[in-house]
Amino acid sequence: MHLADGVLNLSTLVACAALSAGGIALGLRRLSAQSLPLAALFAAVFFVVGTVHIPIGVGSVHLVLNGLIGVLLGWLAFPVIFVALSLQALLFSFGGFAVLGANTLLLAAPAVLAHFALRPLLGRSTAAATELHTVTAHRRGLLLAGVLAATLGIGGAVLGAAVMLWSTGQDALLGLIGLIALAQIPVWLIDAAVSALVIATLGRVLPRAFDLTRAQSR
Amino acid sequence: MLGSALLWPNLAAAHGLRLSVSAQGQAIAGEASFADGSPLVEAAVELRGAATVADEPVDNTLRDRRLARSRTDARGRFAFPSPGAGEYRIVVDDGLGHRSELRLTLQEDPSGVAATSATGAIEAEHRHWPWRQWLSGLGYLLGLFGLAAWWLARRRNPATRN
Repeated sequence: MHLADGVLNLSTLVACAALSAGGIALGLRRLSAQSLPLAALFAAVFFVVGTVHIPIGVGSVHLVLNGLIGVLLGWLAFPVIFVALSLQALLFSFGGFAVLGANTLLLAAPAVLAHFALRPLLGRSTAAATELHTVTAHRRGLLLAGVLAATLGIGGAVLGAAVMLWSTGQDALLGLIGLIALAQIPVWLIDAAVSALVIATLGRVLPRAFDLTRAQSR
Repeated sequence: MLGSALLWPNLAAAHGLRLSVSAQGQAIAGEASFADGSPLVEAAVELRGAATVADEPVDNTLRDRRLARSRTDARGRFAFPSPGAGEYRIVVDDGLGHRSELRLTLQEDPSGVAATSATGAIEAEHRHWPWRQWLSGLGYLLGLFGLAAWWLARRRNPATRN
């Protein structure tokens, strides 16, 4: 989801840009040779999936995956999402450059939140889980982490968009939240499915992926 | 009377929104949709005076004044009675972060007024598989990845600095 140019007023735009710049700086300081490939990969994924519209029923839906990116990359979500959104604005005229800060904040802040909220669900992989019930519990935890990542990612973006529009003086806050949330329900469903699948698969074949950003949160 | 045959559809896009406007006879009609073709329903549409007029000194109050207000219908369509010859802007905003605008020049015509030009960001026809944009975007990302990898390698291994 993006906000278009000309929707927000100047003070909101400036505040969002400043907050995003802070997040990007925090993310860049945590960039390491180990996390860089994953960051680049997810920048590419985010850039492409945001432009693929899957027709469902009357409307169409595209993946956002900001929650998933946040879970795996933490603060790196800010620079990753900023770069991908810049390219979408440049090549697809999605959003626009004046609202780049607002759109980055909108999608990356919930991503960082998902990272810190959901880390406990991923952490159990380190225990040598040989017993069957531990393994299934862990697998279930990973699926749950994926669903929650999408929920926090999309839900946070909906709240953020509603607050930004409200601060610009559009309409009543609660009405905006309801309207935007309604439109994003299919996005949330498809994001949850894909995030759960990706996290569960990574947990099985490449559990080290969860540790890449562990050092950064110290 | 000549039929209102003069038709000048134009496209503007911002944020994956398409806005097309045509003037025929005594009305301006238009349609707003998302880049994938689904209509922008129940969005506020405003007809405004053009904000900047290059040549002649124009009364400032006329420049950006809202002249008419309407909403798009279930198919994303809207219409205004023609305001007469002049330069205008059409602004569509659904209040949920989707907005697009288009500049419009209207000129007198035997059958009423007709749009002689309309400008906005002209969108290339939306494709479902925009390979070219994807490839260039991924190219940029690969370049950035390379730059960052080079920078990290340089920082980790100061011996290679010179």
